[in-house]
Amino acid sequence: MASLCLIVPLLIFAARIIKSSPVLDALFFQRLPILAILFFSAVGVAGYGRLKGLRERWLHDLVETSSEQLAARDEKERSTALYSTITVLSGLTLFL
Amino acid sequence: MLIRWQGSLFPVFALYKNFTLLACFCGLGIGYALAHRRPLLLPMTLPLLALTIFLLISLRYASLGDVFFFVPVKEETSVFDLHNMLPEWASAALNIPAYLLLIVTFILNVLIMAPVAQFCGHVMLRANTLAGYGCNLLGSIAGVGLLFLLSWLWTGPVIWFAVAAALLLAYQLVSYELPLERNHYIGLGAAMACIIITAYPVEPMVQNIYSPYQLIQKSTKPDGLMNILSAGAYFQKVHDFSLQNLSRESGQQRKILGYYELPFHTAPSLDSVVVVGAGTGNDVAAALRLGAKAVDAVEIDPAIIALGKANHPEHPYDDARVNVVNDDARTFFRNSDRTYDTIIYGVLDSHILLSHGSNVRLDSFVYTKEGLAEAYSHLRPGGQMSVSFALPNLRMGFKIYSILSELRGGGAPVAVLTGYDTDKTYTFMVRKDGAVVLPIAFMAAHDLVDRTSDFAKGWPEKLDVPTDDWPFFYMDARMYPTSYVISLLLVLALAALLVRKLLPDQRWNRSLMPFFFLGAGFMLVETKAITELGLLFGNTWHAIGIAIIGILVMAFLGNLLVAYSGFRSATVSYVLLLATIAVGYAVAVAGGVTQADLSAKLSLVALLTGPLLFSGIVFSTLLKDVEDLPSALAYNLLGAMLGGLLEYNSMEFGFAFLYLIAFALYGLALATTWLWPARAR
Repeated sequence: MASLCLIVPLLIFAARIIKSSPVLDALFFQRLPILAILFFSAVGVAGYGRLKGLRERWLHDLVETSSEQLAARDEKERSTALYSTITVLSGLTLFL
Repeated sequence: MLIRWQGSLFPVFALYKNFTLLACFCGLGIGYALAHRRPLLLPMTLPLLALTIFLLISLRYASLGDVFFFVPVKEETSVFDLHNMLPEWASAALNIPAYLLLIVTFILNVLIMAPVAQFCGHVMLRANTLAGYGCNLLGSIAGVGLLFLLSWLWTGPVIWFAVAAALLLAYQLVSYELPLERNHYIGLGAAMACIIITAYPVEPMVQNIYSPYQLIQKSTKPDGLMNILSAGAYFQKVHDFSLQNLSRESGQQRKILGYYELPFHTAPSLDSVVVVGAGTGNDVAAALRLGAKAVDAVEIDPAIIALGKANHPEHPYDDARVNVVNDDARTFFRNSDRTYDTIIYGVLDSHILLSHGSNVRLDSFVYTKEGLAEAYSHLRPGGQMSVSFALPNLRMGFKIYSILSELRGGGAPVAVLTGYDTDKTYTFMVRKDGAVVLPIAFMAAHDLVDRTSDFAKGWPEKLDVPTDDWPFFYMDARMYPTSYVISLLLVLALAALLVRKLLPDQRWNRSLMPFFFLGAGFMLVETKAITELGLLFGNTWHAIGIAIIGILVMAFLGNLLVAYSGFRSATVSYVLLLATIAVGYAVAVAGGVTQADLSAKLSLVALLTGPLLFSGIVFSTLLKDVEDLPSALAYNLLGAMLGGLLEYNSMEFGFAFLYLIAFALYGLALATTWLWPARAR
């Protein structure tokens, strides 16, 4: 409760300062939706990885586990992770 | 994305578009070669991307930003051309900042791309080579598709970097140990920095529009009318010459009015008019004021059309007599069967715009011998064609005059110094079956000067007239451009340095050399294909985008064929590849395919894409015997760099010559395949 009492007025104060400057306003408020989407996507991905052990079944395995160990895993799951990763990353290189 | 963005910041990247592409190839090649090594460097990418954005935006918008606007290309003329006005030493000194900028950006681009390729290559090591390569091509198609989707939506760098940063961050977060480490927080911060810095600078009075071709900056002139910049350089402005405007004949306005109305005062009839490079509508408005009955207005950039519709005070594009066409000027004439009394070339020179996918400018195929002849063929008997150009030097004017004077059945051309905006703007006019009659009183009233006699005597030195095979209108003559050679040596030195630093104990693997030569050859054949397809279907962004995707689809089909047909003979594929290149060269030397009918178009598409399909089949056939896909891709991409450098030979020898170089490179690929075969698995 004490934290809230401190944080909320601070946020309002910061927002007022930013709004008073056209430069800061344009930099932050007009870009807020994109920043928010990016932030929550990242948090969401991280959170999902923690929840469901995504890393154990997905990319982390492809990076860390030896080929022999990997081959022993479920073929379909392994292939999906492997080939979708190659496709997306190759797409990213062309996009960049 | 990096190519588009960097090109919109500094003209040097727009003219050296290949430079960023070569840096990306170099980075990807090094990254794939690092696939076996640890640590994985993916967390470096986002901070490096943020650093690059910060550095380039700081340099661009700092007060010393103008220093980097100088373009070290003395063979090609541009609006940033100061070479002819300065002594040699001063010109050389002015090159230094641009070269420094190129070096730093090259290194940063390499470092951004390498970790992504390393990560991708690391995952590829666990995949079946053909299946992995197939996914690599599918991803490439999707990547190009995504970029073109974002271009179609007129999105800007904020969105591009947000998409890239989100994908990078997602892979970084799910592929390393949880809970979050320091690297992840740095990545998250860098992703946000990318977006925030890209949004700078904030200019409340300027509207930035990222059309599919360029960064358009819309602002307002002191008279309240629209002014447009392209990537920081003056581009267009609208004028109000309506009869209600009492100041239309005053001061400088009088001269500008004269420039716009001169071709219509000399034209024999205004029943049917076409304006190519119509821009925001000034020429079209002049045609309507003087009584044109039907006007086709052709403009390549949809954003310019939209701005003209919304902001031109005379609203020419809303007039029922006007048909607005969003197309490339050359393609419009090639695909149209209409004839005109008057053809007007607005000032459609693209001083800093290069076509997507090659080192020719967007307007290069407009001002060729074949291009102007194609337009002229649409003139009715007695009709008149007018070509205006802001000439950075008179030599370019002599080229235009020379082409116009050779048009079949045309009278002697005239050249009028109209002096619009600069004292170097000329309007050249030619009439079919007759001579142009200049309106002496109108010209005197608007300070327009007849300079025909200056051009009629010819230019004393050697000038090469641009053709479809050598479309370098902005170069005086065919030459090996030393400015580019310096830059290309710079690229090679940097690439060698980076390979040495990042891969210190790497040895050349002879059995992978065929992939190197295949990459080099592919780059040249691809350039020729994109250039020709652009000429056939239009140098519009979507036509070129479809051509690039089509090329990747060809490689994918080749891979599919090898994977599922059991086809294993690389030699047969090589023979077919070399045969299609030989046929392509023979057709190009014979003048190419010029008909506009469907069967001719299809045969040209087959001719241009045949080598790409067969090179794809060769690549995948060889890949079957290779266990290490990332290394093969590394050799291929470094070979593509060599191909990108060899592409500049077209400035001396023309585009058909690229086929000969490609033939030699594919021959070397065949020889190395025989000499050093990969061991079969």
